[in-house]
Amino acid sequence: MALSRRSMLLRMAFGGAGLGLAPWLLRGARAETDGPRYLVIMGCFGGASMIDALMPIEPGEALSLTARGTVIGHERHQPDNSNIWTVDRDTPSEFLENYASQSVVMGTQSSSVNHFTAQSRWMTGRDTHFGRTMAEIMALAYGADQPLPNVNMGRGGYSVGGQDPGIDPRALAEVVVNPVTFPLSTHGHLGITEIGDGPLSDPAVRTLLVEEARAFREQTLETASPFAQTFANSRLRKAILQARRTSDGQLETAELINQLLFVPDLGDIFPLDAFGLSPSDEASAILSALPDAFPTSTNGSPDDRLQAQAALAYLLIRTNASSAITLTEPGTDGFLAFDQSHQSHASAQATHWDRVLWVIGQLIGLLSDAPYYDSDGNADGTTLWDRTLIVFNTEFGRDKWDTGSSFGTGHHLNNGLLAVSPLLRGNQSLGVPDPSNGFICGWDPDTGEATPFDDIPAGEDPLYSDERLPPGEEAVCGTMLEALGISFDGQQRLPVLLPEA
Amino acid sequence: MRAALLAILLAACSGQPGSRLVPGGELPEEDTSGPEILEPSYDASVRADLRLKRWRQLSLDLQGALQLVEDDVCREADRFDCTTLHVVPLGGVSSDNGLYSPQAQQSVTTGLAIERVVLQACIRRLDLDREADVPVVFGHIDLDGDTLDTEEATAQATELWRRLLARDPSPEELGDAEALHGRIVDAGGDTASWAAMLCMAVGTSTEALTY
Repeated sequence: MALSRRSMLLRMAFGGAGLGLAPWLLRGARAETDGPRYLVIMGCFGGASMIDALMPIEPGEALSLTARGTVIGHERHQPDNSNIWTVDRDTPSEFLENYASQSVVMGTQSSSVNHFTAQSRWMTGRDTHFGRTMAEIMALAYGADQPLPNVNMGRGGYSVGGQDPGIDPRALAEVVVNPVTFPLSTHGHLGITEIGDGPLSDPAVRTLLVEEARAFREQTLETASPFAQTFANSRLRKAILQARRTSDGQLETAELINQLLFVPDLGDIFPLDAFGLSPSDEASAILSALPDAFPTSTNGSPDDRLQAQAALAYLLIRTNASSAITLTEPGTDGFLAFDQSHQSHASAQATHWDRVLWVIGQLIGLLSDAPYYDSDGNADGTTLWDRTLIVFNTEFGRDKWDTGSSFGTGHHLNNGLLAVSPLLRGNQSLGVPDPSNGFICGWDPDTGEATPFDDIPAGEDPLYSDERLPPGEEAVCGTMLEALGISFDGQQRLPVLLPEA
Repeated sequence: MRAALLAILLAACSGQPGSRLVPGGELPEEDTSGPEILEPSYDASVRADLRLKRWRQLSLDLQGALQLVEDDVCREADRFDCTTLHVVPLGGVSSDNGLYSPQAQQSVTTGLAIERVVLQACIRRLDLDREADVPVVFGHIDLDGDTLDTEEATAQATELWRRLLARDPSPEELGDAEALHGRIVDAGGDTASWAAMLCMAVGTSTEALTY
């Protein structure tokens, strides 16, 4: 079988066998070779509690104890054709009505209740593969031809890189501060001056001039100067020169500065036409789906930062610029998000679950309408959504007891998460919330059968060593990567999540 | 033996271009066979431990070299401060992202973000000098013409090298800089745009960007 350039790169990045690579690469991973896959991580900063969203407990069944209060319960229902329960609110219900067949909710057990630690452990699957984050693994697997393989709009532990010092720098996260203006970082000179008569104000002429300047820099200053000779062995300098020869050109050739601009010309707020910039031809569709993604003030910040993240995520996938994109719920105050549960658990969980579910629903809608084209430009009748997996990284859970009034909650290891993708065996709810302690139990990794805490007295919590607790970061992250076509030695799997062969 | 060792040490420490540590303290005989190989004139540093200037130092250096105030260095779309907009690729932190320490390595967009900052600063200086009675940086050339003689090229290049690199250009660099003018004009530029491009090339060289 002839190897394509992509499959060669994949084998070089992961396979290693017979290529004389280092042992740690020989133990690497394999990936699909029939085109890209896309991973979107929805970072639910602060602890998105599953019993407050898609694994709720019926209030009538919830245990009440004088000393602890009442196990948190919600009026709930099952939308038609959904095996997944939801709290009885419009947004989660609509999400399931649209995507239950591609959704899996499951009990999970975090290994930390420290925000940044818990977040980063869910990003790496607790070091499941050389300490690399899932996004880095995706970038290595599918990002060889992509100009921005790993884009991160996360925060805290969601924006921290992995722990593999030998990783290809291109797989490291490109951190995005403002999705609206980020595209400007992807070109060396387009849009730097207003269009005018002079050579420097004419984008076409300026392109030629900059090419000449770069050639002079590389051929004279970086070759013959005393500095270039003296610091010929500098690793930093080599990395800079290598980037100029590779990724810089890749970014400009892809013209991402225009392709990723999801806002139209906004006049005084963000003028594009005057600077020779053109928004994506998807701007109108994005405006319809995510109307608050745009800025309305001259500081350039979008009205809704999460909507702006989703808009950029869509275009990164639409242009095949990235294979891994991390979003984070910024919260209504720009920071706490789900952690506002400390002050008012019920309202915080409702507000932020509704927000992340609605925005991700809109993103799925955009991806579902976008045809997939292979590297030769041929459509095969599938969509970009057919190649995408979205995992709601919930960080950790919250305390399980309603103590009355507008009660607050602390952090809790026991929780669950939601994953949505046509690449998963959907319409499953794995694990059951226990109405006598609020814990979500584990489940058989092959059959999905729940492992309830039958013998634990009402009101008592299972021990941390209880084998009936749900799976942790390694198995869940390993399985998500498996669904995305990536396999590696030592990978933990939960077969019930994967499509039947 | 001592004399030989002393000769070796002196050769190694001389700092003279072209000095080579040669066993026995003798220069090797010139090999005239085969293709000509251009020998570097300076020994490569063994440590070569460079650091990339981060956003603040980059901006301060451009302010000093081109005599610009902070707000004039670079503003995207005439509105957004570049050191804020490109802060992460320029080695800064972002509390919005909970990124409280700079990233250890340059990001994918670092090189292009730097070019945007430096090129905008150079063009801004050029625009200011056009309006000034006494140009600050670009005062050695005809900013409205498309011709350049060797004297002008040498003066303007030396001005830029001294301001951005704190040294004089080498004869080879001067020759190449002057030759660049012809290619710039052929590409549709003029002498002013040659100066701006020269400023950008020097300002984004690894010599200017590292310490």
